[in-house]
Amino acid sequence: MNPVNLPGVVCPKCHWSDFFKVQTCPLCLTAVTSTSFPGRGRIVTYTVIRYPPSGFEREAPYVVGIIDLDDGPTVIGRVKAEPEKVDIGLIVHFSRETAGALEFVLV
Amino acid sequence: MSMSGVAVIGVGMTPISSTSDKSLTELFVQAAKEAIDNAGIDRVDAMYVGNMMSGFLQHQEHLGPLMASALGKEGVPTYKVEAACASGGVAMNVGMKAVLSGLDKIVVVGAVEKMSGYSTPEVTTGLMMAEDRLKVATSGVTFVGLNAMIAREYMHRFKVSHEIMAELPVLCHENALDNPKAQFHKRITVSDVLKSPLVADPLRLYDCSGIGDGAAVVILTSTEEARKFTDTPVEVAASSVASDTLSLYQRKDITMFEASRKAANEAYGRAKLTPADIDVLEVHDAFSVLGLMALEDLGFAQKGKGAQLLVNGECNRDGRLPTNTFGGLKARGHPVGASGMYQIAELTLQLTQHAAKCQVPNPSIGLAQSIGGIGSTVAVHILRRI
Repeated sequence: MNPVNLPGVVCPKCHWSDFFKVQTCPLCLTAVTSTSFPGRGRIVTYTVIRYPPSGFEREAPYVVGIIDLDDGPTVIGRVKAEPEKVDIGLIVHFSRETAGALEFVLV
Repeated sequence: MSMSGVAVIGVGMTPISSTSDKSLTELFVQAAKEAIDNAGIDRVDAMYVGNMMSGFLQHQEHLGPLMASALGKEGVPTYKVEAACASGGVAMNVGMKAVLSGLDKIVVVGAVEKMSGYSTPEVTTGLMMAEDRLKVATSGVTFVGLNAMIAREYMHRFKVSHEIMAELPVLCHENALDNPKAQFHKRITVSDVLKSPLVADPLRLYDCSGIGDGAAVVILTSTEEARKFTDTPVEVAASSVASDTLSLYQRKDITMFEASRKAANEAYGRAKLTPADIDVLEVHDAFSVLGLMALEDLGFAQKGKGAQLLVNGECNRDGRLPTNTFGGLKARGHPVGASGMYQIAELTLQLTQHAAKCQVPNPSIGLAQSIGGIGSTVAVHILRRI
């Protein structure tokens, strides 16, 4: 299954990019443009949240990771998988965004 | 132009507790009264109050006039300083600059935090306010979780075992046994750390500082005036603050804090000192991995080798680099916004030979590192006996 494209922004001048939709590039202060990135990436690091903040109590335990997209920025998001199946270096695919949070699945 | 420096002439600290019945104001007043008595001052020109979470947890802001009027000092200029867990360290920086400017002669700089009496999700939500609400908190990651992601990457890249990382909380608990104001008076072993419950993998309960209430206050004046108040003034040889991206995921390398390195290098430069000159050290060990990174970022060890100092016993109170001599954030306690001020007060006690059972042999120069957020703010102070 091919990954879903991940929406974001890119700076037309210095090529800085992010998943979060800011209006101004923080590096050169140029107005950014909307884009999307291929949703395939690699787990840089991750954790398992066992004591969640307010609003997430019913979801714990859950995995959060920093994901380095193959052809896009490094992002933070949920990895929807059993904690013991997750590891540094595994390939993940972006699946969807809910309430501002990116969700990935193991390939 | 004569360049007088800034000196600490008095300190006060409350014990740290998670069962305190004292309000935010009562905590601050207790520490401030102790510091004011300790310095023997009869006037105050300005007051700085460091704090992180009073607005969220106590629904109380405007701490400047709140604390000043509780001490009968209404009328003086007051400032609340917020930089997450570095609020105390940054308040110290701001107060120091006020005295250095010559506009304020005698300044009260304190910090206070009250964290107990709230549910874990509430406190967890409050701590996460140090990161980006819209970009990062939406994922459900917690502040411990962000530090856990650092720990996992650090342990993976540098092949550091949990056993070795656990040496820091073990040392802190050992040191805190001699600190009557510490939150935890309990000896722990490496095995205890490894058997404690997971909070956010791989970090376990004993890798993490606890939840506690406390306040610490210091009195500052110029080095010229300092001897009118005390025979043992301590000079602020350097006070440096640096910042970094608010969000961890935007960093190139998460196994070091650029802001720590920047603040430390600037502080060493200003004080004309090097890491080899430091006799006593206080690092921001809110999580075990942060203590190891601090030893590296502050120039005491190569990257990935911080734990070696602990294993060799160099960080013990009788070692070459006594570290977290009153128990550190882990065992003295971490009332978040106040911790940076506890470090300054503790270093002052060390340098004036008033550290009692925590005393290290005859130190003359100390360094404190206070981290706000996930390395987004770092304050580094170098204090020197004069």
